[in-house]
Parts: sequence; structure tokens; C-alpha cells
Amino acid sequence: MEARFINMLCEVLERDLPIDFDDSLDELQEWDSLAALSLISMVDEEYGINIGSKDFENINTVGDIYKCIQTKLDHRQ
Amino acid sequence: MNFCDLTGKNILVTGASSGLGRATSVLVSKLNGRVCLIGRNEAALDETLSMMEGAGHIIISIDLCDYSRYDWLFGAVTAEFGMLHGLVHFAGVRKTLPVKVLKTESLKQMLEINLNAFLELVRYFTRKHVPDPEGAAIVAVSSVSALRGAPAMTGYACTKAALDGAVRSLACEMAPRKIRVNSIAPGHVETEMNVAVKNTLSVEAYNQIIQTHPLGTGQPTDVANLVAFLLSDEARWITGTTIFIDGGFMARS
Ligand SMILES: NC(=O)c1ccc[n+]([C@@H]2O[C@H](COP(=O)([O-])OP(=O)(O)OC[C@H]3O[C@@H](n4cnc5c(N)ncnc54)[C@H](OP(=O)(O)O)[C@@H]3O)[C@@H](O)[C@H]2O)c1
Repeated sequence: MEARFINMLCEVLERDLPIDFDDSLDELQEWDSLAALSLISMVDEEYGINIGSKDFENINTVGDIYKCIQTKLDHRQ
Repeated sequence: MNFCDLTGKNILVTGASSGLGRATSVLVSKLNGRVCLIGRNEAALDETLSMMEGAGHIIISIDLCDYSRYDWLFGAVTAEFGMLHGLVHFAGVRKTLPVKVLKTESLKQMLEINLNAFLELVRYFTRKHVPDPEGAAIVAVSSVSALRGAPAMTGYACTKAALDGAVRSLACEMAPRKIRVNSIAPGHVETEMNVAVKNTLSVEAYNQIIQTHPLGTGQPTDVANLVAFLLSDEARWITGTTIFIDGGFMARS
């Protein structure tokens, strides 16, 4: 699950350098509103989960996105 | 006779289990039309039926992407209804996909229900002995997205623009048989399709959507009123066009 998520993020960001859970989104050069939208779409397609701009209010790092997906997945079960 | 009276008219409504298709089915029934409600979710179709007036409506639960069942579908409808007078294709999906993640599979899924199903329905609807030779009406459901761009809407916009293109040629081809073909292009209407949008957006982001519509966002009945008019004999001189119903969205610069 973790690896799948990181792969997804790398695909969205087209990033050559490794991505870490502690990386702050603001400091990732490739992160912008379209990247956010792409990630939202991919998460929806892959996991059937909606992350919205409301969720992004509490998201600062790569790990926060992952946690958000996990929480929503747990909630669904 | 009342304006937009649909007495004696048999109308097929796809996407009747939700949103705009549901509101239209209810209105058609109030105007004395008979409706064949089409969708996949049988319980939701039953719910629509429970909101309708009059008798003789039927439910057909079918996946419209399974084109091999259309022969059966039209056989069942014409056996029950006889000749048909209207077809409205509300069934559709909208995926918000930036082009980077717009894979051919996602595009194919949207095209199958939004465009291909419509053309296949038209092909069956216009067969000999299916539509009333006295006249019939077909309505495709496009969107303001066909003409106004927004990030992540490329795939959806393609499917809706294709519908607008299709209705022009279909209208010319079908005019000698008194079959009118039009599309409608709604702006943001508060339906199930948009509940997720509302729930996930911040208040400011949602207010921004509302502000792009000078009259605010629409209700399903607003769209139903237009469709009922297009299905009625009062619209007898309207064909091959796209009518915007968008609270002024397209009027803004
Ligand atoms: N709401 C808006 O703001 C808006 C604006 C512009 C255009 N539109 C267009 O208006 C139409 C209706 O929108 P809505 O808001 O009413 O959407 P909705 O509430 O999401 O309803 C979509 C309908 O499509 C049906 N459907 C989807 N895939 C199907 C399939 N494979 N086979 C059979 N039925 C299928 C669904 O029925 P089942 O789930 O029962 O299969 C449902 O009844 C769509 O074409 C949409 O693009 C909507």
C-alpha cells in the first residue's frame, strides 16, 4: 500500500528524485494545484475515495496525504 | 389543451434513477406522459416511480454500456407502450481528470455511456415502426463544459461536445421523419452528481462555483421544465440546436 501510494505520487509529480513521507508539499517543486487535482483523481480511481480541498486544509506533508487515505479507507470498513 | 401537455406520449428517460432524469420523469408524468424509466439501480428507479403521477409507467433496469441488450430493451418497451414519442438520455458520468491522468480507459468509460449509448439508443429509437410517424423528439444532455474550459474537464468536455455535434447532423437526417433532435447544456445543478463536489470543497471554493452563475446554481426541476417543453408539440419548430440552461453562466465574459 505504501509503495503503491509513493508510485502514484511519483507518476503525478513526474519526479526523478525520491519522495519521503516527511517531505513538505510546499517544498516539493512539482507540487501545484493541478498536481493536487491529479492526485485526487488517481486516489478516486485507485481506492474509490474522495479527498477534497477540505481535507487539504490539514495536509502539509506527503505522509499527511497517506494518513488521510488510510483514515478514509478504515472508516469505510 | 394545457401548454406542454404530454397526454398520449410515450417517453424513454435514461438516468431516471437520479438527479435530472428523476426530476424529468416526475414532471413528464404530471404532464400526463407515460415514462419508461431506465437505469441500473432498481431500488432507485422504484423510488422515482413512487414520486410519479398517473399509471402505466415501466421500469427497465439495464446497464446501458451493454449494447447487446438494446434489442431486448426496445422489444420490451414497444411491446408495452406501442409507438414511442420521446427519448431523453440523461445517463452519464463525469470524471475530473487532469490530462496527465486521463488514461484511455477512463476516457473510454465516459465515451461509452455519455456518447456511444446515446447514438445506439438513437439507432434503435429511429428504427421503422418504433417512433410515431406523426412526430417524436430526442434530447441529448450536454453541458456548459462542452464550450467552456476548466482544468481536468478535457475528457468529459470531449464527450459532451461530441453530443452537440451529433444532434446537428441527426436533426437534418431525421427531419423528413418528423423526429426533432436537440441537446441541452446545463450549468451547475444540485444533483447527486454534484453532492460529492459540494462535500469535498471548502466553503469558499463552493461559493466560487455559485458566483460563476449570475442566477445561482440550478435545481433539477429547472432542467426538467426545459426538457418537458422540448418533448412537447409546442417545440415543433425546434431542432438541431443546443439550448443552454445555466443561470447565466455562459453570458459572463
Ligand atoms: N448536475 C449537473 O450539474 C450537470 C450539469 C451539466 C450536465 N449534466 C449532465 O446531466 C446528466 C445527468 O446528471 P445528474 O446530475 O442527474 O447525474 P447523476 O445524479 O449522477 O445521475 C446519473 C445517472 O446516470 C445513470 N447511469 C450512469 N451510468 C449508467 C449505465 N452504465 N447504465 C445505465 N444508467 C447509467 C445513473 O443510473 P444508475 O446509477 O441507476 O445506473 C444515474 O441515474 C449527465 O449526463 C450529466 O453529465 C449534469
